Amino acid sequence: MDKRVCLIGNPNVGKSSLFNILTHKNQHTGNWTGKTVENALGEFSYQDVHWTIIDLPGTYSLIGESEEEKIASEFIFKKDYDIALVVADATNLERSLTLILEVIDVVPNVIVALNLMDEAKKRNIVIDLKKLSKLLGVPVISTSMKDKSGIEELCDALNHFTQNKPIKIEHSQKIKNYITWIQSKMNVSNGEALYYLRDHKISEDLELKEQKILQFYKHYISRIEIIESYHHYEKKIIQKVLNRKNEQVKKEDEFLNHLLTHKKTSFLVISLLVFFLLFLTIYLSNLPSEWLFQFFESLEKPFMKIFQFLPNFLLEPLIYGGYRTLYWVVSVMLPPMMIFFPLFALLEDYGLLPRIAFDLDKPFSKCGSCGKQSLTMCMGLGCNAVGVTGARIMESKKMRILSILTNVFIPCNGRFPAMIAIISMFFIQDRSFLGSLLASFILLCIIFGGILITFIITKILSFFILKEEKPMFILELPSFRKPKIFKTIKNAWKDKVLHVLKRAMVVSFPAGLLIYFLANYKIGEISIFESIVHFLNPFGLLVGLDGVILLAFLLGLPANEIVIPILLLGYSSSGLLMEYESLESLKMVLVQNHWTILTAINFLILSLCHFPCATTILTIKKETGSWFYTFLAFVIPTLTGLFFCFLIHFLI
Amino acid sequence: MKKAVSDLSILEEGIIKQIDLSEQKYFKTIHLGVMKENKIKCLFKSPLNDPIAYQINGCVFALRKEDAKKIMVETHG
Repeated sequence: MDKRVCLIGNPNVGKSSLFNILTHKNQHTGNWTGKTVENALGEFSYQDVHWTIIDLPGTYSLIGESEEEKIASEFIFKKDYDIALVVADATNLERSLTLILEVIDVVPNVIVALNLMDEAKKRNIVIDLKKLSKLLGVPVISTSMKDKSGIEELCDALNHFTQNKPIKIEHSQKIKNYITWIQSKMNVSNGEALYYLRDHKISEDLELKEQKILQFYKHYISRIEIIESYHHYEKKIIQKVLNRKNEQVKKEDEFLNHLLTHKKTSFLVISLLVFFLLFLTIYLSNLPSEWLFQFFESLEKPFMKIFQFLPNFLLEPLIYGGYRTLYWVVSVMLPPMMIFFPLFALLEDYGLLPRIAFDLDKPFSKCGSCGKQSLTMCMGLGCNAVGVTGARIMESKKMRILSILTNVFIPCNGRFPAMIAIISMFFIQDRSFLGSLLASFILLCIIFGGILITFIITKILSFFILKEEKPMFILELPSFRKPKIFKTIKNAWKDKVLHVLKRAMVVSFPAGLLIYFLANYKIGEISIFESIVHFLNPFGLLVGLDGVILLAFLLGLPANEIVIPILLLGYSSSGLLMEYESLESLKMVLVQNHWTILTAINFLILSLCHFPCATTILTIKKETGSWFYTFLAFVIPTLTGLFFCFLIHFLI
Repeated sequence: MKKAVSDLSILEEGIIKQIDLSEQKYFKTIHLGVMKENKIKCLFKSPLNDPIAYQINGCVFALRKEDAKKIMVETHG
């Protein structure tokens, strides 16, 4: 037998966890509202019934106006399912109850899964399940995702569902009048009738005159009145089934909230967290990067042998151009991402991120944005493409665009190696441990510079982009939850790392071919590479750089990791990408090509402020759906960088 | 005593009596429990004093001062 069940509930109550347990799938579940943005489909069988399960986005109400809420409510009203399973939060039953009543008002086939019961028990919140079930007139099953309790009972209830007699909700007189009117025209339940008040498409079943009456009701009855109508019932039920008299706050929550939001400790704790995140990433990824590089490099010769049937003019570009660039990018990019993102996901799942947004909201609000932008910036440290995708958490469209356009001012760790190399060569004389500490400190200063520029550009952009009413900033601060470590790591790799890696590979291979082509094919006496360098040189000199540096950044578009190898290629005119032997030899090459400290400073500025890499550009196009914003994201940082370089070149 | 939610001191409680938010904003906060006759408690402030974290029933959330000013409560004190 085939049947369909849909999961609906408030954000962050464990819908996705329940979905994963039932279907044995692995959707990411974060301790953060709004993780699921579209319907997820899954299947499972229990005894002789084959269930299709639809996980709807988290929603507070069926008459909400956000994108996720519309998706969820439209699905509920289409009634294309046998049972609606409402997932409720036992630690916050008051809030879940509104949605339960709304759904019951639309369809009678409802089961309630009261989740997080273990958590509620821990906090001494007492709920009378039997009474709740009796009052609502639908089955209520207590579940806990942590120890997977209640899943059997839930499946039993699904399989042996019999039509129940759910509670009849008495609305206020004003609303009742409207319902009576529309039910005389159409065959709809009370809940559906209320949905017509919010639906922007006008029902085709109504005649013109009746549509006008409906329009009138739409203005006459506010959403607040509808919610209050349900709320009246909610209060009565809560009084009978819930007891919060002995409720306790978790010690852990109290302590961490204090630590993370107190005047004296908060900023220190946050800075330390970010510092360790970066430090661990850079420190732990050095060796694996080297191994990967050596491994792929050792494959060059075997590949040459395998493909030797190819003519030389094809073979060399493929191996020394495409393949070499590809593995260069992969081996520099993969290890830091594999370390950064799982660590970040652990912080996310534990519930630390909303606290950071809470602490940092004020400075961002002054720039027309909100505290959540600090989180997309943090993600940007790992990879700007992920930061751009992460901007989905922003409150409004305007804030989202702002944080997408400015994300590239936070240097991703793909840009760190080149920056650290330049810093150690030109600014630090001693090669001891102290020197490397100093180098990290200078890098931190550059990142702070990036943060400062982010604030300034956000402020400027907020005057021009998408004029809209200042949206409300509401940030929920959920209770801390211990993350599942292995699952979190696995998901971070699967969702973020693989995704970005795939895109980077798609762009780096053709880029490698192009670089090889430019460096090895000649127009007249000199290679195309050199003639472009000659062309760019005057512009480069104008901003205190040179043609090779500009071309290196341009050709480094697929991935910032290859900027220095291209520099070397340009200066040595060997026609091949090469790794430098040591910092000293690299410095010698650079100094021979007229690099000074000023060139180094300008190089660092340009590293911080220039167009995003190809992967990020593709992501921006996908996320904003607009070529205009993609263009802005390209131009704004580039002009900013050139402007600063120009300024320094002329002032000093 | 009647005062705005933004003026509650830390750990002070009050009963919501009046809400002057625009319909859109009110609708967003109503799901947090911001409704007349509900008890609201100020939990802690952010290091820069704005936003402020509140609790209603089992729900902890933060509001900016400019919005919190528009929610009036009755306190015992």
